[in-house]
Amino acid sequence: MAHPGFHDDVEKLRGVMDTLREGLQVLSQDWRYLYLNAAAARHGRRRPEELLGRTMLECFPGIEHTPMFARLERCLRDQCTDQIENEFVYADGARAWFELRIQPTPEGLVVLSLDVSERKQLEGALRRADRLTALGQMAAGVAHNLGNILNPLALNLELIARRTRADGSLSGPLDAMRGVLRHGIETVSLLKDFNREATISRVTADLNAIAGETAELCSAAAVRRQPVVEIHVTVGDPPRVPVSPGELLAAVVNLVTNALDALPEGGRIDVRTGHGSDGAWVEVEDDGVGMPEAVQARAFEPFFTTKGDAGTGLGLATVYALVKRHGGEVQLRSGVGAGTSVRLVFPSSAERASGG
Amino acid sequence: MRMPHRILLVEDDAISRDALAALLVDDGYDVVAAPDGLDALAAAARARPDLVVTDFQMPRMDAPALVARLRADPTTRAVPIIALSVDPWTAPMRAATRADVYLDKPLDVAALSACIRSQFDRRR
Repeated sequence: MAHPGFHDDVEKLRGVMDTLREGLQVLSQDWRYLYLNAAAARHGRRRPEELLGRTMLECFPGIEHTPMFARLERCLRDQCTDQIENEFVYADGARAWFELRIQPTPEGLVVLSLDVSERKQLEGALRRADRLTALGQMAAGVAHNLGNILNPLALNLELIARRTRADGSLSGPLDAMRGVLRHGIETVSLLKDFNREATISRVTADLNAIAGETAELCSAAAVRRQPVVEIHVTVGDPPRVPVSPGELLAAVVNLVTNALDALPEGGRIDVRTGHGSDGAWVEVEDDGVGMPEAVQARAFEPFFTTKGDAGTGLGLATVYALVKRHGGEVQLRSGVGAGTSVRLVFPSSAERASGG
Repeated sequence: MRMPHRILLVEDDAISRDALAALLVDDGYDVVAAPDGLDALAAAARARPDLVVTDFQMPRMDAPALVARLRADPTTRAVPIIALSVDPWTAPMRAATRADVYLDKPLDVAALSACIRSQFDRRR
C-alpha cells in the first residue's frame, strides 16, 4: 500500500531505502544479490554494483563455511525466519558486529542488517569492568583472610625473636622467616588496594615531576639492559592532580618496568605528560612486543600475568585500582609487534571542584 | 618506683592476643586482656587502664561500640585508644570508631610500640 503520490515511484522508494541505517538486501535462491540498499553495501564494505547480480559466495569467498551462512541456508530450506548477532570478519582482518533478521520471500531471502559494533564494544567493556569489580572484591576478601592468618604469625615470630635474642644460631632462620612474612604482608597490602574506597586526596602531584623522577629511577635498569633501552621524557603543561605523589610515582615506575619487560631486544620508552578535555595525563609508551587482544582484555585483572613465576599479576591491577580510586581512567593501546601505551588520565583538581 | 602503665588489650583471636600481650609485658607494661568489647568494658571498670588497644571487628561488641561506651564514661573518657583492623581503614570506619590512632593488621610491632610510647609521652 502506498499513498497515491508515492504510488509506483520506485526511484523515490529507492531513495528512502538508501537513507536507512538498517541494511536491506534481497537474495535469490542461488545466493545472488538482487537488491541492496546503501547501508547493506556499506556493511559489506563494497559498492552495490560490485555485488548486484553476483552470488554471495563469489563476493565473499569462504562465507559458505560460516555459522551465519548455515542459518541463511536453514531459513531458505525450511522457509523460516531467524534473528542472529554475527561478527563479520573482513578480508583485511577488521571486524564488525551485525544484528541480522532473516525472512524468506518468493525470490529467496530478505536480510535486514544493523551495525551493533558499538553496542558490542560497550558490552565487552562493561563485562570487563564487572569482572574487575568482582575480582577486586575477591582480592579484598583474600586480603582479609590472609591478614588474619599472618597477624598471629607475625606477632609470635616477633615474640620468639625477642626471647631467643641470646641464641645467635637462631638469628639467621628468624631473619629468613621475617623476610618471607614481610613479603606476605606486602602482598596483603597490595590486595587491600583493590577494594579501597574512592579517595579525594588532600595532596596533589605534579605529573611532570613524576615523569622526571620515574625516568631517573628507571634509567639505571634501562641501561643495564642488553641491548640498551632508552627512556625519553616529554612533558606538557598538565595541571596538578589530586593524588598522592608517592603512590603515583610507584604506579608510573610500574608501567616503565612493564615496558622494559616488553623490550627484550632493546628499544625506546617514552614517558609523556599533557592534558586534554578529560583531564591531566601521564603516559608510558614502548615500541616493544605488544599484547594480543586476549591479553589486553585481561591486563588489569588481579593475578593475571604473562610473566610466569616472575610476575605477581598485581602490577597493572594496582595501577588500575589507584587510578579508579581517584576517579580517573586508564587507557591501554597495544598491538602485537606494535608496542604498548598506557595512559593514566586524572580529572584535575579544578574540574573535580566544579563538577562536585 | 613508678607503677607501670596498664594497657587493656582487646582482641578476639586468642593466638594473636596471647602473643601481643606477652610482647607488651616484655615492653614493661601491665597488660589486661579481653576477647571482645563486652568483656573489655568490665575489665576497664575493674582495672582502670591507661591505654586501650582494640581490634575493630569482634563478636558481641566491636570497636565502635566499645569506644563509644568508654568515651561516655567519665572514668575512661580520656584514655587513649589505638584501634587495629585487618581491612583498610575507610573514612566511615574511622568516623564510627573515633579512636586516637588507627593501625593496620598484620601488625607491625615496632610501630605499635612507638605509638604507645608517644601516646604516654603526650599525656605526661
